[in-house]
Amino acid sequence: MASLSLHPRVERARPLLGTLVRISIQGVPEAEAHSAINRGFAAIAEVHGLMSFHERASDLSQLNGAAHRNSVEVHPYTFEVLSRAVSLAADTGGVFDPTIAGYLVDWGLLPPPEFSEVPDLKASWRDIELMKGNRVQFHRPLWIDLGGIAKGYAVDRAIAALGVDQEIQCCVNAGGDLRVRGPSAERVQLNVQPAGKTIPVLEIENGSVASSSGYGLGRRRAGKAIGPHLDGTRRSVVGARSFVTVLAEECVIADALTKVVLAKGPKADSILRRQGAAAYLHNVRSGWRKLGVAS
Amino acid sequence: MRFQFMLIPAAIVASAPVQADQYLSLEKAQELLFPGASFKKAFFSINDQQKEKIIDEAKVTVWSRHIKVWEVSTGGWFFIDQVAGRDDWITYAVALDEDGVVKGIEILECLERWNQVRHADWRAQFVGKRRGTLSLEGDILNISGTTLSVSHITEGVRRVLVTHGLFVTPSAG
Repeated sequence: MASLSLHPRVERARPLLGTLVRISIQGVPEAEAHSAINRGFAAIAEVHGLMSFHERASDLSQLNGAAHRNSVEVHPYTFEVLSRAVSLAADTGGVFDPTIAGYLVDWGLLPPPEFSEVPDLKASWRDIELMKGNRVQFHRPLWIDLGGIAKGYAVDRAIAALGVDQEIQCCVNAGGDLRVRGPSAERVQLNVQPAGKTIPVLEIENGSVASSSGYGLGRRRAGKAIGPHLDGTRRSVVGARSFVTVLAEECVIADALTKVVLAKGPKADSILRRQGAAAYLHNVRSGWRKLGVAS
Repeated sequence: MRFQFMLIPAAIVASAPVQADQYLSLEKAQELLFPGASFKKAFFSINDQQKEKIIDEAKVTVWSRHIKVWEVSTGGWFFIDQVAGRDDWITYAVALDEDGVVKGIEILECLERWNQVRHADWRAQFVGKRRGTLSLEGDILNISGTTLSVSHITEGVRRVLVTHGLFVTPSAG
């Protein structure tokens, strides 16, 4: 602890990934901390550039526009995120499914891309084929959205890109999806809406935290409930009354699993355990519930 | 990974002052965005007509008639601007290169509605306290579950770019 106080905590923030990304480092000289933080921000910007649904030049747009016709080679990072997404889809029986973008566009929650072909709404993660040489092919026209996983992945890349020693305290927080590394715990306030009489706070050491809630985000369209979080198997909205925070070693896992816990509730316990993760699930009626591995 | 969960009474937080998060001083932001350069203040004010022109082209509100801009010795411009979102008030710096292209953005200060918790003296009392191996010391420096939208920063940058394009010209010599 004494070594930490030799150097001030350096924290910076930039608008990235559509939110405010904060990176902090404590335990190295200030100039070194700034160079490390620059590398962290650059890593996040790179992931964003590759996996943005909106940007035409992104790897993801290339895939969504053409991978149903022929295989498309993507950046190793994009390939890695897709591999993680597909393996999570398999482990959750399709509750986590990155191919739901067609629904989100249909509901006006994502801007429609300018592709000629509309996606087959029956398509699922099973229609994604990951091939050698970072090539990807779709077996039906489909649109992937990595919004439920890429932010966590970007946080993991940024932590790695900082390039500082394990003993140095650092934290990357992308709009509430964050990873903490180093000798000390960090405290994270969980912003549950509607706010109750108590405020939940997590202390976390060497791990990641991600939260999701559909509360206040649900709407109705043509008599049907719509919202940003979908159960991939039932293709219906989840989480309108719950808030969840998932803790895992890697932020990519924490980020993706929030959607699974919103969809499955307490039944997500075994998936969380398999993934080495824990969750705090809050429901407007039943209050807090802890799931997954022990602290 | 080690973790623990606790609930703190909202009442302690309600009495805490709301403070802004300070990230960078003006000088530090200048040094990070334009290493080794010197900065010449080129502040100016815009009149009603100029304000309308900016709104017309940028399609965003103009909050202040006072434009805070510095001419950079190595070429380019350094702007300080402020934006207000639903839950926050942000002061940030925009670096433009000689051609008026955004070179970098850094947040200087951010005041968020949720900041009360960060600065409340919450350690004194816990509800459902369970002491583990963790420290239970220090401030709450992170928030999860609030995805602050930064679309207002995007709009702010558009305003800076239009202001630069319309009214900022390099000084002679």
